[in-house]
Amino acid sequence: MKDVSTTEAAYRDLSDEELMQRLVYQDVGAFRALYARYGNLVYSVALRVVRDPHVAEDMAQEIFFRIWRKPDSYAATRGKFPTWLTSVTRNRAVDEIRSRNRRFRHETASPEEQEREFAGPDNIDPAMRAEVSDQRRLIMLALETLPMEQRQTIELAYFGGLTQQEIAERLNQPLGTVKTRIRLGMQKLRVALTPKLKWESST
Amino acid sequence: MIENEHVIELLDAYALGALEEAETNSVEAHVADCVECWNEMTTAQEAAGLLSLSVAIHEAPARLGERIISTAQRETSPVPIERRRGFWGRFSRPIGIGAMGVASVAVIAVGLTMQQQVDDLEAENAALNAELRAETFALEQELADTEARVAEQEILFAVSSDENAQEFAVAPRSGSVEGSASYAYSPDARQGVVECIGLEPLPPGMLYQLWVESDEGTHPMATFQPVDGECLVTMSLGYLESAPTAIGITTEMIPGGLDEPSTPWLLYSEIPQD
Repeated sequence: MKDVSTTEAAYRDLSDEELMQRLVYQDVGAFRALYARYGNLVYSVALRVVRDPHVAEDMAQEIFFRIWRKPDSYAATRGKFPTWLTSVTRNRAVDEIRSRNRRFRHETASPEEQEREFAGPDNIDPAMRAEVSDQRRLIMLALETLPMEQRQTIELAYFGGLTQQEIAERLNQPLGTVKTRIRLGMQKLRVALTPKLKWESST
Repeated sequence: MIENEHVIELLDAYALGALEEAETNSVEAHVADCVECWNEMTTAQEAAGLLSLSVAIHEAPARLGERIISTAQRETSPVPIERRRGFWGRFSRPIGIGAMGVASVAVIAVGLTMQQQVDDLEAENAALNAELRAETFALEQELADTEARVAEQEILFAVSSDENAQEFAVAPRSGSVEGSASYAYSPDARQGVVECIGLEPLPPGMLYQLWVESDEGTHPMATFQPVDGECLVTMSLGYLESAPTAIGITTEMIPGGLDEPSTPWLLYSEIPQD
């Protein structure tokens, strides 16, 4: 069912789910459109975790090969495609750094570094779809409402792949403090992201 | 079994992947049987999943996209996947709805459901076939590359270890040609090796082609692109009915080479006959 008459512009109008359906029939045009839409995002998530451009490149390549070869690994019931895609990327990247026996160092980021890591709205890729940009804006605004220490702890867990115990050792804080920071921070995030979460689960 | 309250306290850390292995196992064992905690866990995972969208966007290297797309193109089957005729397509004659009763309509409903199932199975089958083809293709490529490398090594060994091997220069045909080549041939193994140095890099779309002449005619042996002006080409000549009489190199423009030289000899030498 390869539709060779489909133009590049026509692919741009297709939803993520429609593009993924076309991958079942090895539609390279659909795959190219997906990469154009999310290549930078996947690479950036991998880079955020592994902090090595070459490894991030390998990770991004692996993720895209995986969706090319197994497009049915995504189902709309798993939430919106970009959230699923970036979560898969993050999980794979964390597995990678853990398998390397934590040879990658995830030092505590300074406030200035954190500002760069959690990019502000001005830093959004203009080529990214408006829908994803809106999601990003909402998430970044939610993160900005958190106290620095809560944000830092969540970041070390999610992007650094560290356990609560490891974070406590890294920050030289009691384990109970780390647990509290994670719980309070995530609770605030969940409240701030409630509209987004309802939208995700309604799809 | 741990209490719900305790599990719920762990769910945010679980969603972030920040629990120790034992805690993770406990949470997973509990939520498998607890709807309330399972719902809480799902919400926590959705919130955690959104964090990935917060990263600063960096531009991926251009080569990454090129590599990913070109690999996908290579793995694409050259033959379009055609869906088989559906359930109703198997009937050669149309069925008149007007002639049917309520029971027939029910049969149609069942048939449509079956049709959907058949379509789903066909789509699943097509996806599995595509994946299988991609993996088979990659394995075949890898096997072919390995076999080619082994065969090359065998020829190099056969020629270099043959005390009776002949070796001579393959000379430029004119003074304006850069580069030179040497040819070593093992009469016992009927295998040869051409080694060249100083060859000019060619414009895009062009390649060097190696030929052997015998009483039967001119035989295409290999095409190659020199690396830093150098090449190493191995040849098996056992299939020739008569001994090679000359060896030469041309430049060609057709990927994979031609059956006959289309340009003048760049390098050429007759092979001394005993």
